[in-house]
Amino acid sequence: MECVWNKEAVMILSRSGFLSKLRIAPDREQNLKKMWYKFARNPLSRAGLIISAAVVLVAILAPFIAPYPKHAGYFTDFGEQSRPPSLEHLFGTDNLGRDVLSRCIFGFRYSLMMAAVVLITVVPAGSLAGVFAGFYVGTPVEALIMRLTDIFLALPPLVLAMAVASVLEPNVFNAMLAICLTWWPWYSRLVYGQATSVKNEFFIQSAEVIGASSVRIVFSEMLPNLLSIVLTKASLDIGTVILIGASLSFVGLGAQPPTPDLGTMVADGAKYLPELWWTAAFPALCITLVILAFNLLGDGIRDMFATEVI
Amino acid sequence: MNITRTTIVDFIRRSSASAISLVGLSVLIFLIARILPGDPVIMALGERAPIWAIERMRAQLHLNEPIYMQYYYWLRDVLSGSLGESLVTKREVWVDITMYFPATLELILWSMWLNVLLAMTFGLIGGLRQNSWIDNLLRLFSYVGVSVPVFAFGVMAILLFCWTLHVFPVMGRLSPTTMLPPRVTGMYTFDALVSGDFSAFLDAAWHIVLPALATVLAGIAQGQRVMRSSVVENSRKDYILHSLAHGIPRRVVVFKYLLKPSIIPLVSLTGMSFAMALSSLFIVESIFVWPGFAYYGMQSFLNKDLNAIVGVIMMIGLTYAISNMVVDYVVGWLDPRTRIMRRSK
Repeated sequence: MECVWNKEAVMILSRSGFLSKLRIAPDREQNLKKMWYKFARNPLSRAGLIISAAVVLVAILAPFIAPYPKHAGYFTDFGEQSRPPSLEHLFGTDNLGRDVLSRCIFGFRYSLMMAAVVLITVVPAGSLAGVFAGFYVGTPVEALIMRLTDIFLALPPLVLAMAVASVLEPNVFNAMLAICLTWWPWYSRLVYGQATSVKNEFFIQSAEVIGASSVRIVFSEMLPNLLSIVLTKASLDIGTVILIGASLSFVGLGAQPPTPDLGTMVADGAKYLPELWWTAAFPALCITLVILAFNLLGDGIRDMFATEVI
Repeated sequence: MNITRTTIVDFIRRSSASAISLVGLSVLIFLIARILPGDPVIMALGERAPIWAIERMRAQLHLNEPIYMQYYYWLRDVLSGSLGESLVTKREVWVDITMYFPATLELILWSMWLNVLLAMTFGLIGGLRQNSWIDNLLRLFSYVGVSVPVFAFGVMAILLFCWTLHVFPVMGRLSPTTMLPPRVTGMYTFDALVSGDFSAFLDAAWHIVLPALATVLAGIAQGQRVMRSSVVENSRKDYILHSLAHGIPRRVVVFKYLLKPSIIPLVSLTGMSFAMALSSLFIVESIFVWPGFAYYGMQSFLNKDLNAIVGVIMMIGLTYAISNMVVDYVVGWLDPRTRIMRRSK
């Protein structure tokens, strides 16, 4: 019984950040080691980390790595048109004579940029909406935010993104905008659920009793406790956002040619299917590889934080 | 499930919540559809339409009036059973939707059926033979299946099965040589069965396999993972060990006692895979040239066909809301614990 009480007390204290102030918390290095162990004990997570790191590196260094960097933009070479894969062009060349491998390498850039921009926008925005709704439970603020969330969640994300993107000019920026609009409610709902339960904890009540302002409670008491779950969800979402972005490009509502976007490349290649199979198959494999790597990475991060996210 | 007052109240509360979300969704889509940069009238009539025709059509569509009045007119029409006229096909959107709907319904019924069946089978095999080669293979499939985008799978599947191996047809719902079965529901496989034309049924089913698989690939992969872990968890429980110790044949234990509790998480996940399938349909129907509702929706998106966009979106929203409720009730029926939990909330 005593043991249980102690555990609870330690949990409350450590969640309030009290322990770290008393310097009895396990030191940081130890903690990191433990987290790395949790992450790395699954070989799939390690594989995900390695592949996604490689993809990021390749994307950053694209102009130096790609064998024909010029082929990423406006470029035609009808002499080299529609060549099957060879040593010179590992993935072959497309109907305009552009090297498919180089374009795939540049395509990673667009996929990663899509995921980065969307998540950097959506995660703070959605989480803030959620945490405020959770803090003001039972007030019009909560009703407003959560009903708005429900409306945006009343459609599958890809359908809503397509509907939004379809009424805008089709380009990369508007595709990102459309995905952002469809993605924030997932965060607000997740954070809202967590925030309402955190709100009943003793340390929130004591902060209220001490007279902390609501802004202070939200930002320095509630948000830090929700951070791990938000980060887990964000890391699981990288792959999904890349997938949705590529799907938008595939149906023609995202990046436009000659942008070397993987989704656009698959759509272009599919037009010449049985003959120029390499122009569709290799970009399709590349996009699958990227998504797979980030999904594995996300699974590893989930194991690391040991949180269950829907 | 016995119907009590609480279940009715619960039902009314939930359906009114969905209805409110749907109304909100209609406002949202309406706003988005009306702030679009291109002029829908010029899109419909063409660049060189005379001014008077443009003006007349504007007045017809109430485009000259403020947006809340436009919404009011739209809502009035919807309540009297009309979604407006498509600017592209020049037919009532409602007529278009009912025309395209059976093909999609057929596809989605086959998809969900395949989804549950395959996820259950794969998960059960994986869970019963933990860490064997087949389990590892299935797990590999589940990781890849979740990650491969629908369009990538569709294109690769066409390339492999249709163009290289020639085992499946590339597109469409029937071979050109097959007679169209007499229309009963508009679902070819069903109609063919009803009219007793077995070869037409086989042909239609043959056409549906690849699109259906593409629609629910991610759902199968995810469902399989969930099913496997619940099989693993349940097979260690005391009552299973007890039944085995009693000498009840393994087959009976697995199918009678293990399967039912293990399938619950899979069923509740099916709601999510239905949502994924709804969005996958838009891509699958474009790739496989499946003349369904999502194909129509995709065309209306690409043509900025206002009324059709709103109609399609509302239909998807409605389907989504209904499916979510149905899944909740099925789970409640399978697992009484969730029922009680919901009531006590």
